[in-house]
Amino acid sequence: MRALLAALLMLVSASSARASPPDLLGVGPRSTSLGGAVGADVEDASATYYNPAGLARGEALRLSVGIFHLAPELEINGQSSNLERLGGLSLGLVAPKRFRGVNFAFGLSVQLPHQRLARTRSAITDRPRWELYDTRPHRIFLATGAAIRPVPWLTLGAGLAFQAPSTLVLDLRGMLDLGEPNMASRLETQFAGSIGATRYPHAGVQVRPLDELELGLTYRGQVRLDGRVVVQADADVTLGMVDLAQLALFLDSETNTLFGPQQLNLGAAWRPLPWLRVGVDLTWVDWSRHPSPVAAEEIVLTLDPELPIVELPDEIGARDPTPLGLHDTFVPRVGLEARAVDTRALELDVRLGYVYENSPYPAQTGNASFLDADEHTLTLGLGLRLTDLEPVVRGHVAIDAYLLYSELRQRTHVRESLVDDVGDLVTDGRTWGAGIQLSVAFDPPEESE
Amino acid sequence: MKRVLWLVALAACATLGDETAFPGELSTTGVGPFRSADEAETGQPAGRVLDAGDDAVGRVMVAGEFLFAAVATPLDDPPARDMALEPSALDPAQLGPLRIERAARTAPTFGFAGREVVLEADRAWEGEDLRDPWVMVLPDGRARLYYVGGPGDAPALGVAEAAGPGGAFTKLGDAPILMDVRSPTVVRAPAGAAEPGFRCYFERDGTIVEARSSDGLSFEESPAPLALPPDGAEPAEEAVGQPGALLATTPAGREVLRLYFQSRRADGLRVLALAASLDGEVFERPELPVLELPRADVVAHPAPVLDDAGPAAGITRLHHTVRRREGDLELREARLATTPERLLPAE
Repeated sequence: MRALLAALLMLVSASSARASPPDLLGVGPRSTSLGGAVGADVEDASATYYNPAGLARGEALRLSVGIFHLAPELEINGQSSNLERLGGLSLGLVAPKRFRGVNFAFGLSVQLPHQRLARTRSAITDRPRWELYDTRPHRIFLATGAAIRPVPWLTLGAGLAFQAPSTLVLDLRGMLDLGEPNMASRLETQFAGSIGATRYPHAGVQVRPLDELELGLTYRGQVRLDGRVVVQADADVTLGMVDLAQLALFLDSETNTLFGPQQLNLGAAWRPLPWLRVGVDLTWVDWSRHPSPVAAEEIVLTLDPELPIVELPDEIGARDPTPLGLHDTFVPRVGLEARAVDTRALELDVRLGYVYENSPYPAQTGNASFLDADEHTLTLGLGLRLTDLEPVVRGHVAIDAYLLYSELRQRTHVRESLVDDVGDLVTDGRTWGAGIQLSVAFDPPEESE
Repeated sequence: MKRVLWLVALAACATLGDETAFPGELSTTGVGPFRSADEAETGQPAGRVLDAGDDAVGRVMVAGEFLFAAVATPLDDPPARDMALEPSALDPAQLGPLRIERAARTAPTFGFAGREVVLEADRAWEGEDLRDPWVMVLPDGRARLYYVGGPGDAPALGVAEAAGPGGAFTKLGDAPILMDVRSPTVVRAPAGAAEPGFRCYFERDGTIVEARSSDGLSFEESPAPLALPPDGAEPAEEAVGQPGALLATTPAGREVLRLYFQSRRADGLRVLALAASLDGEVFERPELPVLELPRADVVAHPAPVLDDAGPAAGITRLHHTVRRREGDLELREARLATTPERLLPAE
């Protein structure tokens, strides 16, 4: 209980909830293949994202390793947007412990992209960009969770996910000789950078009012990452031994590099037949708080005194971010799971999922070009469980796999201006994804039960 | 178990991806910024589209796979240049009769070569010179060649027709179809126009004038010059002229009339500007000119064309002339800023 209280205290101190990579990729093959409609009964490591309460449902120690792959094929005006494919490694851990008749559990989930830990860039307002696909999924995802099951019909859980904002400072100072810039100039540079840590909470509850019906409620907090780059230069401009002027440059660019809106998910799982599970979830996503991904910049360039041969511009592009104008969305999810084979040694589940995500982005009629569209996602999965493995494994080994197909509805953006330099846009696209995971579950020893 | 783990590890390695660059920029509207085509793209020295040098006068425009220009017949013994003329101005006395010539595209580049004469002055009203060709291809494939003939102080519009831009042109009628016309451009009226048919825009007294026609052969002038809003560039615009029209359909299906023209600034600079309209009556302009070249005093005679096939599909190319202080006339092409790799046809 103390551990849970400690976890809840950490949530209060967390800086801000939706980790964005899993929103696009899903977490864990079973949950992903069920369209994410698992908030009421998830119990594997993906519970760290879908509902931390589910971590305490089982009593077996679970370890999982898997791979995932996502290939967006998005187009603007019939031309490929050349978005990068994403692949990575997933790791999961669920460690339960039963103490005085109460189940406790700790969980960990990691998605590690192959290419990089994170990718980010600020947006240029009028340059078309798939805002939710451009850099958003290209990040490591790390989430932990703790849960308790005080009574058989109720589980409670909470967790934290982590992201890393960055600040980079480039300091340039010294002397610049106009006569012999290569030989006589003396300039030194210093680069300083820091990558911080931002935590954001997940919390949830699962209840079982009936044997065949389970309900779940999950809250995912908001995460906002800002990146900041500061360049400051201070140089004496000389000509030989003569000091001419003092050149100073200050550039401060701060941009929102990742925003995950807070979410509230209500889920239900119904088992009308022993071999059939039907899951339905509805997620409220608070997109309207999304800050602008356009960098706020301050650029100051001065030359004191001014030199007649050098004319500096009055303004060098300092700008303020443009509001995005997003609206909140409700995302319905449906997942079906059927037990196709059920023997003493082998179980085989077939899974089907569907998600409809209406885009929070308005049509881009002004000078902004942040592109997105309503999306239908269909998933298909298989889960193979080998249950008669003693004495090698006291528990079971499972292999879960999924295929994902998302269709983005064609969307037309008609510009208010006929001389807009980007012009009308028609977007279209689809996304393919796949993943496979091997997991091992070690049942607790008889004496601990 | 070990085998399964190895299999997963191998599969994980197989998905390792190459890091790709961020998606590039996308420009589609023809607003610009334009850049000059280079030598590799046109296959001509210095990125010219036709190596006609000082022989070509005025507009150069492209229709289909052909380029049309007015080219002077070289004089065997030209008189000395009139030194009273501005350095960038042509001396008509040094030129022989002007005639309309045609050159074919030199695949796979965007340059042209193999000049041939397609139209010469042989009507009384035409005088000695034909100039400022504008070719419009009709839906049935026929090509109409509009041209200006007559003396410099009384230019008039004539028209010839051929089975296609590469066919033999025959003049229609013995009289001009419109009087006092300089640098004409003819285009089908946009879908949003109140009156369907054709529009002819031409220069008169530092303004652009519109004329309407139902058949493209008989035009009626609008009483007042086209009302073009000012742009935001400095110094102020003093006059406009030399229009070149393009009817473009946006990806959203809107038909937009884009009128490129020369903008004459108060400091003497001649740059290319744009105005766009859905109905051919109300025009909108961008803040800045679409093409302004360094070291060029006069950028003139914009003639836009929209690629509709191949790797350059949807790219606006803006043919134009450049006259620098050195006096060389260059027939040039500018295109929207994008990477050359996307424009050149695959070999």
